[in-house]
Amino acid sequence: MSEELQVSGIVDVRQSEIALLLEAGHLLMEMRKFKEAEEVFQGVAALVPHSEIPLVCMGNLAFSLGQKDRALRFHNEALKRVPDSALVHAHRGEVLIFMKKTAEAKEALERSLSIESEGPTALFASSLLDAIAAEVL
Amino acid sequence: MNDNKIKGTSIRLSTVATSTRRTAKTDFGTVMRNGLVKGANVVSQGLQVAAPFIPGSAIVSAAVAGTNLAASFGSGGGAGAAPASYGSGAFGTSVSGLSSAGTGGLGGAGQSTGAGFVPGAHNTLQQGTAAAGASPSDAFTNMQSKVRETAEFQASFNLQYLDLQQTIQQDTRQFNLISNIMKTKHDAAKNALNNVR
Repeated sequence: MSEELQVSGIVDVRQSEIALLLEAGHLLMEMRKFKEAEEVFQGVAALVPHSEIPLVCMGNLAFSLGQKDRALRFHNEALKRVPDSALVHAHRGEVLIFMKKTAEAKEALERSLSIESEGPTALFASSLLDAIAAEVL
Repeated sequence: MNDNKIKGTSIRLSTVATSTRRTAKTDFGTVMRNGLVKGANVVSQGLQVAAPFIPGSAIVSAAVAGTNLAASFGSGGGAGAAPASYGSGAFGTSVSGLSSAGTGGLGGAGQSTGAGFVPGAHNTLQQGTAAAGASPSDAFTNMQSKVRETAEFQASFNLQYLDLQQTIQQDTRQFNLISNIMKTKHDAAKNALNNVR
């Protein structure tokens, strides 16, 4: 029986529990319980201070509320934690597209693709680049 | 002895008012006329219904309208004053009215043939627009302009249809792009949640 992955934060937490908490936050977000979702994400961000994922989730939450500047701040903060995170660059590019900063967005998305050229994050960045090329967004 | 005397009878006066005997007109001309008028009405109504769905509908509509005009003239009876009165002696008011309206004098032909209101009616139908005062060359020019208008309308319609197709294709492309973005974003988030280190 393989031992379950532990995430070392303030305390050691099993990875499945972190995933469960983040999924709960997303569910709350889908239920339009934004305050509760933010509390969950903040809790996870405090629990694993080295991970950029909870900050990306908070950025997504702000973005879904139309708070683009706040979303960008969260993504920038996430970048401070993990500068070479393809996920953060991709989400940052998304926010920049909607802030009409197309050149910066393109740069961020290309950076994301250069870090991770395959996988779900790369597909996300590629689809955003396609949207820029088609001038859809 | 007086032979002129009426025996055993007295003179009686009838007090019942007399009236002209009215019998149904069942002569050949009337029956033929009624049948043809009904047939023409059915055909014209059918054309009116079908006109919008066939090419050159404007021309057909105009032709049908002309037919109706002629038919209404014909059924009116006595639309043309002198020829109508001339024809009424032979076939009755309705027949003479039908023949006189369009041609203004073909009642004579009907009179000589017995069923001769048929050519009269034919001419009436054909010259429905001529009755309004237009010459055949004017009618031809009018038809040509209608044909041109129809062609222009069809060309314009085709262009509009192409524009609509392009708009729908553009919308479909945008929808697919945005749908793809949302799907990949969801997949990326899902993947990230399960890979927190």
